[in-house]
Amino acid sequence: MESLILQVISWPMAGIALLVFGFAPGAVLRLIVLAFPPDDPRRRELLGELYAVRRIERPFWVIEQLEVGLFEGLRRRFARRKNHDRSVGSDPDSTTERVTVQGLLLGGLLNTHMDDVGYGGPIACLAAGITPRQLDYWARTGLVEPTVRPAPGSNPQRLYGFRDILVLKVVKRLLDTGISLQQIRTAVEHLGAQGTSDLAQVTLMSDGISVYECTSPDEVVDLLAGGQGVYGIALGRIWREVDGVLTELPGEPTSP
Amino acid sequence: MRRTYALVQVAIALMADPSGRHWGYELSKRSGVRPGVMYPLLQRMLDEGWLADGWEEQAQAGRAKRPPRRYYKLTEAGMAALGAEINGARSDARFSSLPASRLIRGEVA
Repeated sequence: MESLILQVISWPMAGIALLVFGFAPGAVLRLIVLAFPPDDPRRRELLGELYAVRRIERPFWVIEQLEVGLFEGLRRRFARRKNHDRSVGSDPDSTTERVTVQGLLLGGLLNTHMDDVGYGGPIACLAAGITPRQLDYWARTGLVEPTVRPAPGSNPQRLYGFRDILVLKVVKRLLDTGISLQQIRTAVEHLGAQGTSDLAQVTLMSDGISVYECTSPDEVVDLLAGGQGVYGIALGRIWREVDGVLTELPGEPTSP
Repeated sequence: MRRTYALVQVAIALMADPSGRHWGYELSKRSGVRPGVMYPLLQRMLDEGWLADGWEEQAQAGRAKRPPRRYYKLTEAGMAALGAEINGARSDARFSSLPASRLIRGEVA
């Protein structure tokens, strides 16, 4: 133990530290950003920032980023791990969700919701379980836009269709599993390209890092066996939840 | 979000240029908040919808032979929220050591 401490504070070590921080701050920074999950934008961001820092200040700046990596990067990894553990555990809700996928495939869902009714922002928030701020932000960044009546800026006159609210709720659920907004954006774009009747048959599986789309129970089982799907979101179930809430709430007819 | 000293400092730095692009390194310098505190704060503001982010155009970065940088921009909701934070901080004894001129300048927008 004593010799180890001596070694750490010895001159050669100090020399190496000087060399590393003085001449290769970029290499050290590359090691630091490894603390972040692989798809985290902060990785690219910090590497990009290095070039904006004056050369002489770079070693000090890199040392400061060690704190960013330790506190933010490792915490984010830890948060994902926790999500992971929670959903792998015997959560009765997630198992029933997996089971209902099969039920949905047999029953099929009624395509009763046509796009002739729109819901205002407050009702969309209520049905999707999100805050007005989230709704507003997602609309303005183009993540989930109201298709019944789009409105520029933060105009409160937006009208969301049934399908929009479904997507809002899915985004919320994915956020809760620890998925990054970038990944969610990709998933939403993918779902947007599909017909409404197909949506109810989809189960999104997630391992907290990526999102997978399953359209048959076999695919769900495969993913589970491979350890890639630990958190299931059956769209059919969300469909019924949204449907249940919306029948209690007033909608606005869009055709005059 | 709890009104911390760091939050108010970053708010002032952001509101000094409410419509401009903000870069991490400069923001940290101007606000005087260490990166280890500032980046998690920016992330929370992004999650709240107070900030939007984006990446510098590839062409611009490519000319300087470096990777593109990430920037942050205030959203309308962010301007309102941060303006309120700064206003609140002005009447809060905990923040009396922040120079008043900076607080007033931060009120723009």
